[in-house]
Amino acid sequence: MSAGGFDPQIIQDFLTECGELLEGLEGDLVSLESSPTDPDLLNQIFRALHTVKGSASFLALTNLVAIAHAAETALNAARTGRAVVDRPCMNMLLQTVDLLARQFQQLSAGEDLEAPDPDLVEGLTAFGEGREAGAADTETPAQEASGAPPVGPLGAATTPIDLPADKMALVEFLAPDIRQTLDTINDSLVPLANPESRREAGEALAAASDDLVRSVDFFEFEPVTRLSTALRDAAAHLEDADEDAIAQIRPRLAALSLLLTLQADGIEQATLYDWPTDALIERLTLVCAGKPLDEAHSLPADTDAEGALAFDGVLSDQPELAGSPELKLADAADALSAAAPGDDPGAKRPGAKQVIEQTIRVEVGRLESLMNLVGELVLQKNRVAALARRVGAAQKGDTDLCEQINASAEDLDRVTGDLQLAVMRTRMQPLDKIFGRYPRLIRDLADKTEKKINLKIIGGDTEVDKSVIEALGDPLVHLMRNSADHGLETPDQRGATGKSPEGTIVLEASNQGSHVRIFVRDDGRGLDRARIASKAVERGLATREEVDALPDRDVFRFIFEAGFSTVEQVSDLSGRGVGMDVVRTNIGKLNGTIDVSSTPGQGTTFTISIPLTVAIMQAMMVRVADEIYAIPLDNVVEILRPSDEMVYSIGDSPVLKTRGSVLPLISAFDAFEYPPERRTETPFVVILSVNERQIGLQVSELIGQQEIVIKPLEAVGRAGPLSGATVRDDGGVSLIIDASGLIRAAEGRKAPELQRAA
Amino acid sequence: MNENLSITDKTGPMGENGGEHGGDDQLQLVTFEVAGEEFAVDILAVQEINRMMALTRVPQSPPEVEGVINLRGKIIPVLDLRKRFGLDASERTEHNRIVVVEVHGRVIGFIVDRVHEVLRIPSSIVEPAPQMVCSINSEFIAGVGKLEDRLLILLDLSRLFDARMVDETQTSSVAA
Repeated sequence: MSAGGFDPQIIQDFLTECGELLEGLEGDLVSLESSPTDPDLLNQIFRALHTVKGSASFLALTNLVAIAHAAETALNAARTGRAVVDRPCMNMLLQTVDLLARQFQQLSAGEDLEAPDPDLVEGLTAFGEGREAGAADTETPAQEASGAPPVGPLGAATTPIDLPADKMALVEFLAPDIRQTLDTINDSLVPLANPESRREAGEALAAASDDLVRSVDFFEFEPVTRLSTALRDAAAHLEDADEDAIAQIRPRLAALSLLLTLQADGIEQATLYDWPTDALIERLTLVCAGKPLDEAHSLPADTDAEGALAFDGVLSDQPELAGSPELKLADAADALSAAAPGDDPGAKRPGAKQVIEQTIRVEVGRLESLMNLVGELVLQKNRVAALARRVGAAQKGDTDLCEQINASAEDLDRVTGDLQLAVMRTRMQPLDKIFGRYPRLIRDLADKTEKKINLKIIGGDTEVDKSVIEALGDPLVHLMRNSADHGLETPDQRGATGKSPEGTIVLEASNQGSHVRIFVRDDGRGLDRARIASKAVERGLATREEVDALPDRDVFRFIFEAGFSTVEQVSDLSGRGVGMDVVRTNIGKLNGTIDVSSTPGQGTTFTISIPLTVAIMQAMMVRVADEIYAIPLDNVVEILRPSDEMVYSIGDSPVLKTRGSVLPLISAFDAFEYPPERRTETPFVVILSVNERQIGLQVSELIGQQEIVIKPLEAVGRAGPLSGATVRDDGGVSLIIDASGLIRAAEGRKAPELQRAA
Repeated sequence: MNENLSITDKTGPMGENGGEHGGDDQLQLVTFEVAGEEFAVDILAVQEINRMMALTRVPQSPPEVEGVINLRGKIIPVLDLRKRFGLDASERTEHNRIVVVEVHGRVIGFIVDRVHEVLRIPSSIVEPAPQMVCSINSEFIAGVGKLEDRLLILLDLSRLFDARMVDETQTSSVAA
């Protein structure tokens, strides 16, 4: 069932578009669980599945269509109020989402799509049909009429359907599809009569008929396409129609809907019907175009669908109606005569879709190259600014020219700054993109751990750079798992300590200037200091005396060490002692920090702070002998020129005593392997801090603060404690110091000193 | 690029064949000198040739990496070919050049003692490398071109720069 033969670009578009829908679907389903009858939510989910199914059927992805169709059937029952999504149904729907996700992956890998579990399909279908059994009879009345009749209902000419096998396999989905859309259309015909609800109903009608055309298009059933296209074209003009026009339009739309219902019945029997609809469609088109009809072609007042069919000559040859279609006529007539607009959720939902998306899809590659160009521009701007300063210093005579150059440089600076911000914003995405996955995660975790967990997401609209979003996903999953698995207690345990049986995990994001702060907070048992401390001693990370002297927060920080787990039993969910280590490393890669605080019995909070973007940052430029390095300003706490008595040694290690604390001191010459002959004086100390751990770095000179563009250094292969490189305003290259790497390297050398100092 | 360096026994006419680049029978090479030997690489692999510029040393990088340069906004590593060949470093002169090549999608510069010329030779005069052709490791050699008056050593760029350094890149990124 691969989509062989299709342009890879089409497949890619399908994956992108439907991938987004799928992402939203999971979150929506979990929300649905708490409000299973929310009509908007049901409709949204239904629509997403419907779109996925529609696009997949265009690509002849039979296995994907089959499962999407089954889920859609179940949801349709819920949407129309015939059933309520219960837990078993929700489980099936979530399984569907999982399956769809796998199928998407298989599609993108060019593999055959796996077939859905027949039980799942059957379960969903049964849910969808089981409760609508009563309605099903009226829904598919023509099914009993076996064989292909020489004359169809309403005197239609008949053609047997003959299609290639791949399309044939999909035909069976078409008829229910048409019926579902027609339901919406019929629902919209009612409020159409009322001027107040006309606009909304018209939009709903337009959206639904557009859906219809797209569903039908693929199969190239000319008569069906003709009817649905006419319906869609008419629906597009309803807004401008006056009262008289509506009186002419409505019955004809109902007539088209009726004919399409019959087509759906026919399709199920592999037969297409054809009626002489030219006059009907022509007149409809005229009215919709705002041209009044001749007296002879105008429907009398209060004509119903049946009347319209007869009037426009569709039934002229066969005025007698077959038995079952009469029923449908009655339905359509009911729809016309009923006049209770307003309380119809079906009419509202497709209207929402009409809001035209004010966005375009842009390849990430293009944004990336744009970002690079802006980076270049920032560098050039820096060079121009530097030149302007030099001109200012040199050109003492011609002050006017000087001022002009400076003014121009300042303008350039401002424009570049704005441009940089604008380009950065194109890459920003709301955190909801990853937060949206977590309700499902928590739901499954709650199931597995048999806990009750309430997940609160706050500030999901906070935007960060795309690359940050991608890199944050896994660390957050680890944190949430930890909170759910280790942090929160079972309902019994919670009850025993007087807490509400339901545990809460709060995921909160907020902007803090150029940084985003993310909290993962639970109201569980809190970290166990004693246990972490003894584990740290056991693993040789510190001695018992050292641990006992450390404040809580420093003890808690041991949980970020590689292989550190205090859970005796390795569970399925977490507790392998790799998670927190990975979390810290990944966040460190984003130049971010993570911290943990905890109160016994009240819960644990992880605080992550990351820069909004990883491409540009503020740096302190320092000289080390004849080379210039950049230090991320975020890591710089303080710069000082220590007096001799501030620097001394503990054992072999030099330390710096400042403001009552003692920091390990590293010479940049050692850190960056300067040969002895190139070493000079290092009178300055830059105090670096990462995750509250501090060291002093000795350098030769301070140059100043600068905005730098970060360039990868990976082409070099291995390198020292460096996070990248940047181009200076003189065109030369400076390496960017990785403060956390430097601190780690220092810790490796002299762990006890550092811990005491920190 | 390296298929052009493969040795064929066709003896094509010189000059007219294949327009800009030699096709099967013609090789268009950039030749340069390192430690008194003349080397050549396929011109298609060469992006540009630059005069020496200030290199930024990268601490703890592989020994043959001399440093990095800013190539129009892109940071690329520059290697000393002498060191790569296991030879002693020499004083820099005004003739030193940085040859920038692309090997398997990576842009790398290497320092040579001087650049000679762009040369077009029939591939028929290229022979497999003998075991002892010069002081360098024969695994880096794609072949030897016998000109009337001298020998040209054709370098296999992918072997020269690829496998080992890619490995290191991977390990370092895992460790990071």
